[in-house]
Amino acid sequence: MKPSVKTITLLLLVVVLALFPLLGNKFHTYLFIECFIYSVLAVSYYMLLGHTGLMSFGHAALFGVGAYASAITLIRFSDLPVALTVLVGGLSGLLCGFLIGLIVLRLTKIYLAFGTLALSQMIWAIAWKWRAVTGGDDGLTGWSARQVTFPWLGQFGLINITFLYYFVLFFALACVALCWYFTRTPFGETLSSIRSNQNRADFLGINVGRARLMVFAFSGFMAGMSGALFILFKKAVAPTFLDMSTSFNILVMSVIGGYTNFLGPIVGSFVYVYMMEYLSSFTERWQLVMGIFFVLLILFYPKGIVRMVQQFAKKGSFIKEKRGVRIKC
Amino acid sequence: MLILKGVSKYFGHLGVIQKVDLEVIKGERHALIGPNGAGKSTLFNLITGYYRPSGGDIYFKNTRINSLAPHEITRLGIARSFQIINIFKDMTVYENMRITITAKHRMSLKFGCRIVSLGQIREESEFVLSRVGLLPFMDEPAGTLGYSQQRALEVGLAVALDPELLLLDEPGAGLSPDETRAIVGLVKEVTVGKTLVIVEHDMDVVFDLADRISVLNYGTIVASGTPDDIRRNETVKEIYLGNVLEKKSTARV
Repeated sequence: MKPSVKTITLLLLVVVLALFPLLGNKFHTYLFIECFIYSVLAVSYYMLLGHTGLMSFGHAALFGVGAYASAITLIRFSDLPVALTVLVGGLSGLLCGFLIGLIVLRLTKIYLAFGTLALSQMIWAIAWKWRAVTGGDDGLTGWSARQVTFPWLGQFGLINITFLYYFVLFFALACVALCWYFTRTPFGETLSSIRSNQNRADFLGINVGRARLMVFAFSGFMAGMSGALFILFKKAVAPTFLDMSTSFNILVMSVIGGYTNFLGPIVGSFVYVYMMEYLSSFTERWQLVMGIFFVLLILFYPKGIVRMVQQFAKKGSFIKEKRGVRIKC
Repeated sequence: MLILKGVSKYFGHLGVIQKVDLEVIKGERHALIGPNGAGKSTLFNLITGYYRPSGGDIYFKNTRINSLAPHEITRLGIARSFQIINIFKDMTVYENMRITITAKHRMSLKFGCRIVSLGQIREESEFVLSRVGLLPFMDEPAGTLGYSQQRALEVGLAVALDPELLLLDEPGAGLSPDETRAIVGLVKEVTVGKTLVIVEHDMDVVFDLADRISVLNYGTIVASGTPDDIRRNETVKEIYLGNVLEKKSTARV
Protein backbone atom coordinates (compact mmCIF):
# COMPACT_ATOMS: atom_id res chain seq x y z
CA MET A 1 0.00 0.00 0.00
CA LYS A 2 1.34 3.39 -0.93
CA PRO A 3 1.41 5.74 2.04
CA SER A 4 -0.73 8.80 1.43
CA VAL A 5 0.23 12.40 2.03
CA LYS A 6 -1.96 12.35 5.11
CA THR A 7 -0.16 9.42 6.69
CA ILE A 8 3.23 10.97 6.05
CA THR A 9 2.15 14.30 7.54
CA LEU A 10 0.77 12.50 10.54
CA LEU A 11 3.95 10.50 11.09
CA LEU A 12 6.08 13.61 10.71
CA LEU A 13 3.90 15.39 13.23
CA VAL A 14 4.28 12.58 15.74
CA VAL A 15 8.06 12.59 15.26
CA VAL A 16 8.21 16.34 15.75
CA LEU A 17 6.10 16.09 18.89
CA ALA A 18 8.27 13.27 20.18
CA LEU A 19 11.48 15.25 19.62
CA PHE A 20 10.08 18.54 20.85
CA PRO A 21 11.19 18.41 24.53
CA LEU A 22 14.73 17.59 23.43
CA LEU A 23 15.01 21.15 22.17
CA GLY A 24 15.22 21.99 25.83
CA ASN A 25 12.68 24.77 25.88
CA LYS A 26 10.96 24.19 29.23
CA PHE A 27 8.41 26.94 28.69
CA HIS A 28 7.00 25.52 25.48
CA THR A 29 7.25 21.97 26.72
CA TYR A 30 5.11 23.02 29.62
CA LEU A 31 2.57 24.73 27.39
CA PHE A 32 2.45 21.78 25.02
CA ILE A 33 1.49 19.46 27.88
CA GLU A 34 -1.43 21.73 28.60
CA CYS A 35 -2.32 21.78 24.90
CA PHE A 36 -2.34 17.99 24.72
CA ILE A 37 -4.63 17.66 27.70
CA TYR A 38 -7.02 20.26 26.37
CA SER A 39 -6.91 18.56 22.98
CA VAL A 40 -8.20 15.34 24.48
CA LEU A 41 -10.88 17.27 26.31
CA ALA A 42 -11.91 19.22 23.21
CA VAL A 43 -11.96 16.07 21.09
CA SER A 44 -14.14 14.34 23.69
CA TYR A 45 -16.46 17.32 23.37
CA TYR A 46 -16.29 17.06 19.59
CA MET A 47 -17.69 13.52 19.83
CA LEU A 48 -20.81 15.02 21.38
CA LEU A 49 -21.22 18.34 19.65
CA GLY A 50 -19.49 18.10 16.31
CA HIS A 51 -20.08 14.48 15.56
CA THR A 52 -23.42 13.65 17.16
CA GLY A 53 -24.84 17.17 17.30
CA LEU A 54 -25.51 17.08 21.03
CA MET A 55 -24.88 20.47 22.58
CA SER A 56 -23.71 20.11 26.16
CA PHE A 57 -22.98 23.03 28.47
CA GLY A 58 -21.82 20.78 31.26
CA HIS A 59 -18.82 19.04 29.81
CA ALA A 60 -16.57 20.26 32.63
CA ALA A 61 -18.46 17.93 34.98
CA LEU A 62 -17.03 14.91 33.17
CA PHE A 63 -13.57 16.47 33.15
CA GLY A 64 -13.81 17.38 36.83
CA VAL A 65 -15.17 14.04 37.95
CA GLY A 66 -12.26 12.33 36.24
CA ALA A 67 -9.87 14.77 37.91
CA TYR A 68 -11.34 14.29 41.40
CA ALA A 69 -11.63 10.53 41.10
CA SER A 70 -8.03 10.12 40.04
CA ALA A 71 -6.84 12.64 42.65
CA ILE A 72 -8.58 10.70 45.41
CA THR A 73 -7.12 7.47 44.09
CA LEU A 74 -3.66 9.01 44.00
CA ILE A 75 -3.95 10.12 47.62
CA ARG A 76 -5.62 7.03 49.08
CA PHE A 77 -3.65 4.38 47.19
CA SER A 78 -0.06 5.50 47.15
CA ASP A 79 1.18 2.20 45.70
CA LEU A 80 -1.06 2.16 42.67
CA PRO A 81 0.73 2.80 39.36
CA VAL A 82 0.01 6.30 38.12
CA ALA A 83 -1.13 5.06 34.71
CA LEU A 84 -3.90 3.17 36.48
CA THR A 85 -5.13 6.29 38.25
CA VAL A 86 -5.49 7.89 34.84
CA LEU A 87 -7.71 4.99 33.83
CA VAL A 88 -9.68 5.39 37.07
CA GLY A 89 -10.28 8.97 36.00
CA GLY A 90 -11.46 7.78 32.61
CA LEU A 91 -13.77 5.15 34.02
CA SER A 92 -15.37 7.51 36.51
CA GLY A 93 -15.89 9.96 33.66
CA LEU A 94 -17.52 7.15 31.73
CA LEU A 95 -19.88 6.39 34.60
CA CYS A 96 -20.69 10.06 35.07
CA GLY A 97 -21.27 10.52 31.33
CA PHE A 98 -23.56 7.52 31.31
CA LEU A 99 -25.64 8.84 34.21
CA ILE A 100 -25.88 12.34 32.75
CA GLY A 101 -26.75 10.86 29.38
CA LEU A 102 -29.46 8.77 30.99
CA ILE A 103 -31.07 11.76 32.67
CA VAL A 104 -31.03 13.97 29.57
CA LEU A 105 -31.87 11.08 27.23
CA ARG A 106 -34.88 12.70 25.60
CA LEU A 107 -33.70 16.29 25.59
CA THR A 108 -32.40 18.00 22.47
CA LYS A 109 -31.11 21.42 21.43
CA ILE A 110 -31.27 24.16 24.05
CA TYR A 111 -33.06 21.91 26.55
CA LEU A 112 -30.19 19.47 26.37
CA ALA A 113 -27.67 22.28 26.81
CA PHE A 114 -29.40 23.54 29.93
CA GLY A 115 -30.13 20.09 31.29
CA THR A 116 -26.44 19.25 31.17
CA LEU A 117 -25.57 22.67 32.61
CA ALA A 118 -27.87 22.08 35.58
CA LEU A 119 -26.45 18.62 36.25
CA SER A 120 -22.87 19.83 36.01
CA GLN A 121 -23.62 22.61 38.46
CA MET A 122 -24.99 20.03 40.86
CA ILE A 123 -21.77 18.06 40.60
CA TRP A 124 -19.84 21.27 41.13
CA ALA A 125 -21.87 21.92 44.29
CA ILE A 126 -21.04 18.45 45.57
CA ALA A 127 -17.34 19.06 45.02
CA TRP A 128 -17.71 22.36 46.82
CA LYS A 129 -19.66 21.12 49.84
CA TRP A 130 -18.45 17.60 50.50
CA ARG A 131 -15.31 18.65 52.32
CA ALA A 132 -14.52 15.24 53.77
CA VAL A 133 -13.91 13.74 50.36
CA THR A 134 -13.22 16.60 47.98
CA GLY A 135 -11.56 19.05 50.32
CA GLY A 136 -14.17 21.69 49.51
CA ASP A 137 -12.80 24.94 48.13
CA ASP A 138 -9.29 24.03 49.28
CA GLY A 139 -9.29 21.21 46.78
CA LEU A 140 -6.86 18.33 47.01
CA THR A 141 -3.10 18.16 46.66
CA GLY A 142 -0.30 15.89 47.73
CA TRP A 143 0.97 13.84 44.82
CA SER A 144 3.61 16.16 43.40
CA ALA A 145 6.39 13.99 44.81
CA ARG A 146 4.90 10.90 43.24
CA GLN A 147 7.29 8.65 41.34
CA VAL A 148 6.37 6.67 38.28
CA THR A 149 8.24 3.43 37.76
CA PHE A 150 8.74 1.96 34.34
CA PRO A 151 10.25 -1.44 33.81
CA TRP A 152 13.60 -1.10 31.95
CA LEU A 153 13.42 2.68 31.94
CA GLY A 154 13.65 3.43 35.62
CA GLN A 155 11.89 5.86 37.89
CA PHE A 156 10.65 9.33 37.04
CA GLY A 157 9.07 12.01 39.19
CA LEU A 158 5.90 13.78 38.10
CA ILE A 159 7.88 16.92 38.74
CA ASN A 160 10.14 16.02 35.82
CA ILE A 161 8.61 18.04 33.02
CA THR A 162 10.21 16.09 30.18
CA PHE A 163 8.95 12.83 31.57
CA LEU A 164 5.47 14.25 32.10
CA TYR A 165 5.51 15.49 28.52
CA TYR A 166 5.97 11.97 27.16
CA PHE A 167 3.55 10.50 29.65
CA VAL A 168 0.81 12.92 28.62
CA LEU A 169 1.70 12.72 24.94
CA PHE A 170 1.29 8.97 25.01
CA PHE A 171 -2.16 9.12 26.58
CA ALA A 172 -3.25 12.05 24.43
CA LEU A 173 -2.25 10.31 21.21
CA ALA A 174 -3.98 7.13 22.31
CA CYS A 175 -7.17 8.97 23.22
CA VAL A 176 -7.30 11.05 20.05
CA ALA A 177 -6.54 8.00 17.92
CA LEU A 178 -9.30 6.08 19.65
CA CYS A 179 -11.78 8.92 19.04
CA TRP A 180 -10.74 9.08 15.40
CA TYR A 181 -11.20 5.35 15.07
CA PHE A 182 -14.62 5.60 16.67
CA THR A 183 -15.81 8.12 14.12
CA ARG A 184 -14.91 5.62 11.39
CA THR A 185 -16.84 2.67 12.77
CA PRO A 186 -20.48 1.86 11.96
CA PHE A 187 -21.32 3.33 15.35
CA GLY A 188 -19.51 6.54 14.40
CA GLU A 189 -21.51 6.87 11.22
CA THR A 190 -24.73 6.23 13.13
CA LEU A 191 -23.80 9.12 15.41
CA SER A 192 -23.38 11.37 12.37
CA SER A 193 -26.78 10.31 11.13
CA ILE A 194 -28.28 11.37 14.45
CA ARG A 195 -26.71 14.79 14.04
CA SER A 196 -27.91 15.02 10.48
CA ASN A 197 -31.50 13.85 10.99
CA GLN A 198 -32.49 12.13 14.20
CA ASN A 199 -36.04 11.60 13.04
CA ARG A 200 -35.05 9.60 10.00
CA ALA A 201 -32.49 7.62 11.99
CA ASP A 202 -35.35 6.58 14.26
CA PHE A 203 -37.38 5.33 11.31
CA LEU A 204 -34.45 3.31 10.01
CA GLY A 205 -34.67 1.23 13.17
CA ILE A 206 -31.69 2.83 14.88
CA ASN A 207 -31.95 2.90 18.65
CA VAL A 208 -31.14 6.58 18.97
CA GLY A 209 -31.46 6.59 22.75
CA ARG A 210 -28.92 3.83 23.20
CA ALA A 211 -26.54 5.43 20.71
CA ARG A 212 -26.76 8.69 22.64
CA LEU A 213 -26.08 6.96 25.94
CA MET A 214 -23.07 5.23 24.44
CA VAL A 215 -21.59 8.42 23.06
CA PHE A 216 -22.17 10.23 26.36
CA ALA A 217 -20.34 7.45 28.17
CA PHE A 218 -17.54 7.39 25.61
CA SER A 219 -17.14 11.14 25.68
CA GLY A 220 -17.18 10.96 29.47
CA PHE A 221 -14.38 8.43 29.40
CA MET A 222 -12.20 10.68 27.25
CA ALA A 223 -13.01 13.77 29.31
CA GLY A 224 -12.27 11.84 32.50
CA MET A 225 -8.91 10.76 31.09
CA SER A 226 -8.04 14.36 30.30
CA GLY A 227 -9.11 15.40 33.79
CA ALA A 228 -6.83 12.76 35.31
CA LEU A 229 -3.92 13.92 33.16
CA PHE A 230 -4.62 17.51 34.07
CA ILE A 231 -4.18 16.93 37.81
CA LEU A 232 -0.89 15.14 37.19
CA PHE A 233 0.16 18.29 35.41
CA LYS A 234 -1.30 20.88 37.82
CA LYS A 235 -0.56 18.79 40.96
CA ALA A 236 -3.84 19.95 42.50
CA VAL A 237 -7.56 19.75 41.97
CA ALA A 238 -10.16 22.37 42.88
CA PRO A 239 -13.89 22.92 42.29
CA THR A 240 -13.10 25.41 39.52
CA PHE A 241 -12.18 22.40 37.36
CA LEU A 242 -15.83 21.52 36.99
CA ASP A 243 -17.59 24.84 37.05
CA MET A 244 -19.45 26.58 34.26
CA SER A 245 -16.56 28.66 32.99
CA THR A 246 -14.53 25.51 32.28
CA SER A 247 -17.45 24.16 30.25
CA PHE A 248 -17.57 27.34 28.24
CA ASN A 249 -13.81 27.33 27.74
CA ILE A 250 -14.18 23.92 26.11
CA LEU A 251 -16.89 25.32 23.90
CA VAL A 252 -14.71 28.31 22.98
CA MET A 253 -11.79 26.04 22.07
CA SER A 254 -14.04 23.92 19.88
CA VAL A 255 -15.50 26.90 18.09
CA ILE A 256 -12.14 28.60 17.55
CA GLY A 257 -10.70 25.57 15.81
CA GLY A 258 -14.00 24.62 14.25
CA TYR A 259 -16.37 22.15 15.81
CA THR A 260 -17.52 20.65 12.52
CA ASN A 261 -14.33 18.74 11.81
CA PHE A 262 -12.16 16.46 13.85
CA LEU A 263 -9.01 18.54 13.61
CA GLY A 264 -10.76 21.72 14.74
CA PRO A 265 -10.89 21.09 18.50
CA ILE A 266 -7.21 20.10 18.54
CA VAL A 267 -6.10 23.22 16.71
CA GLY A 268 -8.53 25.21 18.84
CA SER A 269 -7.02 24.03 22.09
CA PHE A 270 -3.50 24.91 20.92
CA VAL A 271 -4.60 28.38 19.84
CA TYR A 272 -6.52 28.85 23.07
CA VAL A 273 -3.67 27.84 25.37
CA TYR A 274 -1.11 29.96 23.54
CA MET A 275 -3.39 32.98 23.31
CA MET A 276 -4.21 32.70 26.98
CA GLU A 277 -0.53 32.49 27.89
CA TYR A 278 0.69 35.35 25.73
CA LEU A 279 -2.25 37.68 26.20
CA SER A 280 -2.17 37.31 29.96
CA SER A 281 1.50 38.24 29.98
CA PHE A 282 0.63 41.50 28.23
CA THR A 283 -2.48 42.49 30.08
CA GLU A 284 -4.68 41.53 32.97
CA ARG A 285 -7.70 42.02 30.73
CA TRP A 286 -6.68 39.24 28.41
CA GLN A 287 -10.17 37.79 28.37
CA LEU A 288 -11.41 40.97 26.74
CA VAL A 289 -8.95 40.58 23.86
CA MET A 290 -9.77 36.90 23.58
CA GLY A 291 -13.47 37.77 23.50
CA ILE A 292 -12.98 40.23 20.64
CA PHE A 293 -11.01 37.64 18.72
CA PHE A 294 -13.75 35.11 19.33
CA VAL A 295 -16.49 37.45 18.11
CA LEU A 296 -14.54 38.36 14.97
CA LEU A 297 -13.91 34.73 14.22
CA ILE A 298 -17.57 33.83 14.61
CA LEU A 299 -18.59 36.74 12.37
CA PHE A 300 -16.20 35.96 9.54
CA TYR A 301 -15.30 32.30 9.90
CA PRO A 302 -18.02 30.63 11.94
CA LYS A 303 -16.64 27.24 11.02
CA GLY A 304 -13.35 27.97 12.69
CA ILE A 305 -9.69 28.22 11.88
CA VAL A 306 -9.28 24.82 10.26
CA ARG A 307 -12.02 25.51 7.71
CA MET A 308 -10.53 28.95 7.12
CA VAL A 309 -7.15 27.44 6.26
CA GLN A 310 -8.71 24.74 4.10
CA GLN A 311 -10.60 27.40 2.21
CA PHE A 312 -7.44 29.36 1.76
CA ALA A 313 -5.58 26.34 0.47
CA LYS A 314 -8.35 25.69 -2.00
CA LYS A 315 -9.01 29.15 -3.36
CA GLY A 316 -5.79 30.94 -2.58
CA SER A 317 -7.60 33.71 -0.77
CA PHE A 318 -9.30 34.36 2.52
CA ILE A 319 -12.49 35.58 0.88
CA LYS A 320 -15.48 34.67 2.95
CA GLU A 321 -17.50 31.71 1.90
CA LYS A 322 -20.65 32.89 0.12
CA ARG A 323 -23.87 32.20 1.88
CA GLY A 324 -25.84 29.31 0.48
CA VAL A 325 -22.88 27.88 -1.36
CA ARG A 326 -21.97 24.46 -0.10
CA ILE A 327 -18.34 23.57 0.25
CA LYS A 328 -17.64 19.95 -0.44
CA CYS A 329 -15.23 18.35 1.93
CA MET B 1 -50.62 -8.79 8.50
CA LEU B 2 -51.41 -5.30 9.69
CA ILE B 3 -54.69 -4.81 11.52
CA LEU B 4 -56.08 -1.56 12.85
CA LYS B 5 -59.01 -1.89 15.27
CA GLY B 6 -60.97 1.23 16.10
CA VAL B 7 -57.91 3.42 15.98
CA SER B 8 -58.46 7.08 16.85
CA LYS B 9 -56.17 10.06 17.17
CA TYR B 10 -57.21 13.31 18.75
CA PHE B 11 -55.18 16.50 18.80
CA GLY B 12 -57.04 18.30 21.57
CA HIS B 13 -60.68 18.03 20.51
CA LEU B 14 -59.88 17.59 16.85
CA GLY B 15 -60.42 14.00 15.84
CA VAL B 16 -58.00 13.56 12.99
CA ILE B 17 -58.48 9.81 12.90
CA GLN B 18 -61.77 8.42 14.20
CA LYS B 19 -62.34 4.72 14.81
CA VAL B 20 -60.49 3.47 11.78
CA ASP B 21 -60.67 -0.25 11.04
CA LEU B 22 -58.27 -1.44 8.41
CA GLU B 23 -56.70 -4.71 7.47
CA VAL B 24 -53.72 -5.09 5.19
CA ILE B 25 -53.34 -8.62 3.91
CA LYS B 26 -49.95 -10.19 3.41
CA GLY B 27 -48.69 -9.83 -0.11
CA GLU B 28 -51.14 -7.18 -1.29
CA ARG B 29 -50.54 -3.69 -2.61
CA HIS B 30 -52.91 -1.50 -0.70
CA ALA B 31 -53.52 2.10 -1.70
CA LEU B 32 -54.77 4.71 0.72
CA ILE B 33 -56.47 7.62 -0.92
CA GLY B 34 -58.46 10.59 0.23
CA PRO B 35 -58.58 14.36 -0.07
CA ASN B 36 -56.03 16.62 1.57
CA GLY B 37 -56.26 16.57 5.33
CA ALA B 38 -58.15 13.30 5.42
CA GLY B 39 -55.60 11.86 7.82
CA LYS B 40 -53.52 9.65 5.56
CA SER B 41 -50.16 10.80 6.83
CA THR B 42 -51.43 10.78 10.42
CA LEU B 43 -52.43 7.17 9.93
CA PHE B 44 -48.90 6.39 8.77
CA ASN B 45 -47.52 8.21 11.78
CA LEU B 46 -49.73 6.11 14.05
CA ILE B 47 -48.71 2.83 12.45
CA THR B 48 -45.01 3.63 12.60
CA GLY B 49 -45.12 4.83 16.20
CA TYR B 50 -44.45 8.53 15.63
CA TYR B 51 -47.80 9.20 17.33
CA ARG B 52 -49.55 7.03 19.84
CA PRO B 53 -53.18 6.32 19.15
CA SER B 54 -55.70 8.00 21.49
CA GLY B 55 -57.84 4.87 21.25
CA GLY B 56 -57.94 1.49 19.55
CA ASP B 57 -55.26 -1.05 18.79
CA ILE B 58 -52.74 -1.68 16.03
CA TYR B 59 -51.48 -5.21 15.41
CA PHE B 60 -48.62 -6.24 13.19
CA LYS B 61 -48.02 -9.95 12.73
CA ASN B 62 -50.27 -10.51 15.78
CA THR B 63 -48.14 -8.23 17.97
CA ARG B 64 -49.74 -5.15 19.48
CA ILE B 65 -47.52 -2.25 18.45
CA ASN B 66 -49.41 0.70 19.94
CA SER B 67 -46.89 1.62 22.52
CA LEU B 68 -43.67 0.76 20.70
CA ALA B 69 -41.11 3.37 19.67
CA PRO B 70 -40.50 4.04 15.96
CA HIS B 71 -37.21 2.16 15.90
CA GLU B 72 -38.78 -0.90 17.51
CA ILE B 73 -41.60 -0.94 14.99
CA THR B 74 -39.12 -0.54 12.16
CA ARG B 75 -37.18 -3.52 13.49
CA LEU B 76 -40.34 -5.63 13.46
CA GLY B 77 -40.40 -5.12 9.72
CA ILE B 78 -42.28 -1.94 8.86
CA ALA B 79 -40.39 0.70 6.90
CA ARG B 80 -41.76 3.96 5.63
CA SER B 81 -40.92 6.82 3.36
CA PHE B 82 -42.00 10.38 3.98
CA GLN B 83 -44.16 12.80 2.07
CA ILE B 84 -41.74 15.62 2.79
CA ILE B 85 -38.20 14.60 1.93
CA ASN B 86 -36.52 13.33 5.07
CA ILE B 87 -32.97 12.24 4.28
CA PHE B 88 -29.53 12.93 5.76
CA LYS B 89 -28.94 16.06 3.73
CA ASP B 90 -25.44 16.95 4.86
CA MET B 91 -24.11 13.45 4.27
CA THR B 92 -23.28 11.92 0.93
CA VAL B 93 -25.73 9.75 -0.98
CA TYR B 94 -23.53 6.76 -0.32
CA GLU B 95 -23.38 7.47 3.40
CA ASN B 96 -27.15 7.78 3.46
CA MET B 97 -27.48 4.34 2.01
CA ARG B 98 -24.68 2.87 4.10
CA ILE B 99 -26.32 4.03 7.34
CA THR B 100 -29.56 2.41 6.22
CA ILE B 101 -27.96 -0.89 5.27
CA THR B 102 -26.00 -0.91 8.53
CA ALA B 103 -29.26 -0.38 10.39
CA LYS B 104 -30.90 -3.16 8.42
CA HIS B 105 -28.21 -5.56 9.59
CA ARG B 106 -28.58 -4.28 13.19
CA MET B 107 -24.98 -3.16 13.14
CA SER B 108 -25.59 0.52 13.85
CA LEU B 109 -24.05 0.42 17.30
CA LYS B 110 -21.08 -1.80 16.46
CA PHE B 111 -17.64 -0.32 16.92
CA GLY B 112 -15.44 -3.36 16.54
CA CYS B 113 -14.30 -2.55 13.04
CA ARG B 114 -14.09 0.29 10.59
CA ILE B 115 -17.14 0.74 8.43
CA VAL B 116 -15.15 0.77 5.18
CA SER B 117 -13.90 -2.72 5.96
CA LEU B 118 -17.39 -4.17 5.74
CA GLY B 119 -17.58 -5.48 2.18
CA GLN B 120 -21.11 -6.76 2.39
CA ILE B 121 -22.45 -3.41 3.55
CA ARG B 122 -20.70 -1.71 0.65
CA GLU B 123 -21.99 -4.15 -1.92
CA GLU B 124 -25.56 -3.94 -0.73
CA SER B 125 -25.43 -0.14 -0.56
CA GLU B 126 -24.14 0.09 -4.08
CA PHE B 127 -26.71 -2.41 -5.25
CA VAL B 128 -29.66 -0.44 -3.87
CA LEU B 129 -28.19 2.81 -5.15
CA SER B 130 -27.86 1.38 -8.62
CA ARG B 131 -31.47 0.22 -8.48
CA VAL B 132 -32.74 3.69 -7.67
CA GLY B 133 -30.39 5.16 -10.25
CA LEU B 134 -28.25 7.14 -7.84
CA LEU B 135 -24.95 5.37 -8.28
CA PRO B 136 -23.45 8.22 -10.36
CA PHE B 137 -24.22 10.66 -7.54
CA MET B 138 -22.78 8.48 -4.81
CA ASP B 139 -20.31 11.04 -3.46
CA GLU B 140 -22.54 14.10 -3.69
CA PRO B 141 -24.00 15.49 -0.48
CA ALA B 142 -27.63 14.36 -0.54
CA GLY B 143 -28.89 17.90 0.00
CA THR B 144 -27.32 19.12 -3.24
CA LEU B 145 -29.14 16.61 -5.43
CA GLY B 146 -32.01 17.63 -7.63
CA TYR B 147 -35.49 17.21 -6.21
CA SER B 148 -36.38 14.09 -8.13
CA GLN B 149 -33.13 12.42 -7.11
CA GLN B 150 -33.72 13.29 -3.48
CA ARG B 151 -37.16 11.75 -3.92
CA ALA B 152 -35.57 8.59 -5.29
CA LEU B 153 -33.23 8.47 -2.31
CA GLU B 154 -36.14 9.02 0.08
CA VAL B 155 -37.95 6.01 -1.33
CA GLY B 156 -34.67 4.13 -1.72
CA LEU B 157 -33.88 4.36 2.00
CA ALA B 158 -37.21 2.77 2.90
CA VAL B 159 -36.82 0.10 0.24
CA ALA B 160 -33.25 -0.63 1.32
CA LEU B 161 -34.45 -1.85 4.71
CA ASP B 162 -36.12 -4.68 2.80
CA PRO B 163 -39.15 -4.63 5.10
CA GLU B 164 -42.05 -7.06 5.18
CA LEU B 165 -44.43 -4.13 5.12
CA LEU B 166 -43.49 -1.03 3.17
CA LEU B 167 -45.38 2.21 3.73
CA LEU B 168 -44.87 4.83 1.07
CA ASP B 169 -46.26 8.28 1.71
CA GLU B 170 -46.73 9.91 -1.69
CA PRO B 171 -43.54 8.66 -3.33
CA GLY B 172 -44.37 10.78 -6.35
CA ALA B 173 -45.06 14.03 -4.51
CA GLY B 174 -43.86 17.00 -6.52
CA LEU B 175 -42.61 14.93 -9.41
CA SER B 176 -43.48 15.20 -13.08
CA PRO B 177 -45.65 12.39 -14.49
CA ASP B 178 -42.62 10.78 -16.10
CA GLU B 179 -40.61 10.83 -12.90
CA THR B 180 -43.59 9.49 -10.95
CA ARG B 181 -43.88 6.64 -13.42
CA ALA B 182 -40.22 5.80 -12.95
CA ILE B 183 -40.58 5.69 -9.18
CA VAL B 184 -43.78 3.67 -9.36
CA GLY B 185 -42.07 1.25 -11.71
CA LEU B 186 -39.35 0.83 -9.14
CA VAL B 187 -41.88 0.37 -6.36
CA LYS B 188 -43.64 -2.31 -8.40
CA GLU B 189 -40.38 -4.10 -8.99
CA VAL B 190 -39.14 -4.13 -5.42
CA THR B 191 -42.45 -4.98 -3.77
CA VAL B 192 -42.97 -8.26 -5.56
CA GLY B 193 -43.81 -10.73 -2.81
CA LYS B 194 -43.87 -7.92 -0.24
CA THR B 195 -46.73 -6.02 1.31
CA LEU B 196 -47.20 -2.40 0.37
CA VAL B 197 -49.36 0.44 1.62
CA ILE B 198 -49.12 3.49 -0.55
CA VAL B 199 -50.61 6.97 -0.31
CA GLU B 200 -50.83 8.57 -3.71
CA HIS B 201 -52.82 11.32 -5.36
CA ASP B 202 -52.28 10.28 -8.95
CA MET B 203 -55.32 8.11 -9.69
CA ASP B 204 -53.72 6.47 -12.72
CA VAL B 205 -50.95 5.25 -10.48
CA VAL B 206 -53.33 4.09 -7.77
CA PHE B 207 -55.62 2.11 -10.04
CA ASP B 208 -52.70 0.66 -11.92
CA LEU B 209 -50.75 -0.41 -8.86
CA ALA B 210 -53.20 -1.33 -6.15
CA ASP B 211 -54.83 -4.66 -5.42
CA ARG B 212 -57.09 -2.99 -2.91
CA ILE B 213 -57.93 0.60 -2.13
CA SER B 214 -59.16 2.25 1.05
CA VAL B 215 -60.65 5.71 0.95
CA LEU B 216 -60.15 7.99 3.90
CA ASN B 217 -62.26 11.08 4.47
CA TYR B 218 -62.33 13.27 7.58
CA GLY B 219 -60.47 10.63 9.54
CA THR B 220 -62.74 7.68 8.76
CA ILE B 221 -62.57 4.92 6.18
CA VAL B 222 -65.54 5.45 3.89
CA ALA B 223 -64.84 2.60 1.52
CA SER B 224 -62.47 -0.28 1.11
CA GLY B 225 -62.23 -2.77 -1.72
CA THR B 226 -60.84 -3.65 -5.11
CA PRO B 227 -60.22 -0.86 -7.61
CA ASP B 228 -63.43 -1.78 -9.41
CA ASP B 229 -65.43 -1.64 -6.20
CA ILE B 230 -64.05 1.77 -5.46
CA ARG B 231 -64.73 3.03 -8.94
CA ARG B 232 -68.36 2.01 -8.59
CA ASN B 233 -68.83 3.21 -5.04
CA GLU B 234 -71.28 6.11 -4.97
CA THR B 235 -69.98 7.74 -1.78
CA VAL B 236 -66.45 7.71 -3.08
CA LYS B 237 -67.48 9.23 -6.38
CA GLU B 238 -69.24 11.97 -4.53
CA ILE B 239 -66.49 12.97 -2.15
CA TYR B 240 -63.38 12.32 -4.09
CA LEU B 241 -63.31 10.74 -7.46
CA GLY B 242 -66.28 12.47 -8.99
CA ASN B 243 -64.31 15.18 -10.69
CA VAL B 244 -61.53 12.96 -11.85
CA LEU B 245 -63.78 10.37 -13.44
CA GLU B 246 -65.93 12.99 -15.11
CA LYS B 247 -62.90 14.68 -16.54
CA LYS B 248 -61.62 11.40 -17.81
CA SER B 249 -64.82 10.49 -19.56
CA THR B 250 -65.06 13.89 -21.22
CA ALA B 251 -61.46 13.68 -22.27
CA ARG B 252 -62.07 10.37 -23.89
CA VAL B 253 -65.00 11.78 -25.88
